[in-house]
Amino acid sequence: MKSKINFAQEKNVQNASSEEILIMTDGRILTHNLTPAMAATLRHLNPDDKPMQQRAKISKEERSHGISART
Amino acid sequence: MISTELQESTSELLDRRATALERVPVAHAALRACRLCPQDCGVNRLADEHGRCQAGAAARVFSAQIEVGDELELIPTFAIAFNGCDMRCAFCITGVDSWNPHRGELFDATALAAKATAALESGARTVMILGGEPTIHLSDAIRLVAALPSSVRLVWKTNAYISAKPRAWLAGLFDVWLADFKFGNDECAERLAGIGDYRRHVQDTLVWADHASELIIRHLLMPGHVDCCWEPIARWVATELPVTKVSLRCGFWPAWKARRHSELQRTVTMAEERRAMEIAGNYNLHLIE
Repeated sequence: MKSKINFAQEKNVQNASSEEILIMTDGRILTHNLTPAMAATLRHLNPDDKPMQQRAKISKEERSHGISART
Repeated sequence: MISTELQESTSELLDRRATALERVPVAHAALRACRLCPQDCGVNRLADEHGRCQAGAAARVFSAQIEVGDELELIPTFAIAFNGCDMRCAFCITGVDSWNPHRGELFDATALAAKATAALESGARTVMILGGEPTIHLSDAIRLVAALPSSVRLVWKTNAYISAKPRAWLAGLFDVWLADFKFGNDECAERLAGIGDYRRHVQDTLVWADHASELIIRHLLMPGHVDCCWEPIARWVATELPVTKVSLRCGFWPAWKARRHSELQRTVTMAEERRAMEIAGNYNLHLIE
């Protein structure tokens, strides 16, 4: 199965968050180093992805306490 | 009663930081003849000699950020990733950083502790120290423990392919060991990660960690390795550590040098995922998400 999109941001510990995603042609979304901001974005791409929904929910709850994507 | 419990808890936490500080010098001295992992190189990393992992004396960090991709009970976590690794997994998702001892920024315990503190104050539940394999930078990892807030829930994320001595130096410092069990047999470990005597060392670490702290065993399901790797791992866990939490991860993708191995040129199929879950069910494993 070929990946449709595969990108990795340049990693810089000081200035940017870093994560990778792989979106499969069957709609599955695989992630690595998933940040709260990316989880919030990906939940909209595949609403049937239960694990992503759980992580996005936790991210949202924690964001309400002040978490930002970048640290 | 509550006050007494708090005092005991505080005492334990202070002990952790004090214990960490005490262990830094001896862990650092171990770099003179490094045998932190089963590769058993014995090189003097303090004299700029390099063993199989290519790591020098100075640790570097290639990522430090809040993440939500790990086990639900651990997230959000502030994940601090040291460079360098004692294994050479062809499918390593962080191979570019993990295999290169010069990637990332020089380790700074004070700066990282400040970032971790800010993350915790804004809602992170845990701080996770990982790699690469953090054991190869043991003294700096312990130094970081000593610099972190006392109340933090600390997670040691490891490939579990480590020696007995560093295990002892890590005792009592971490609340959770999140340990990989990647290969169900030594042949797959040798072929895909270039290491020997894999199962014995990893199983020793897992049994030790289960007694020393809370343990979560993580297995990344690999395409074409359900029966040769996952099944024997599940069987062993069911026999030796039947109530230990197991995290079965099915998000393999053909990263790094995986395409050199024909079976690793794809992701895990739904059928393989179903079969893996069936095995877990048959062995009544304590699966967590």
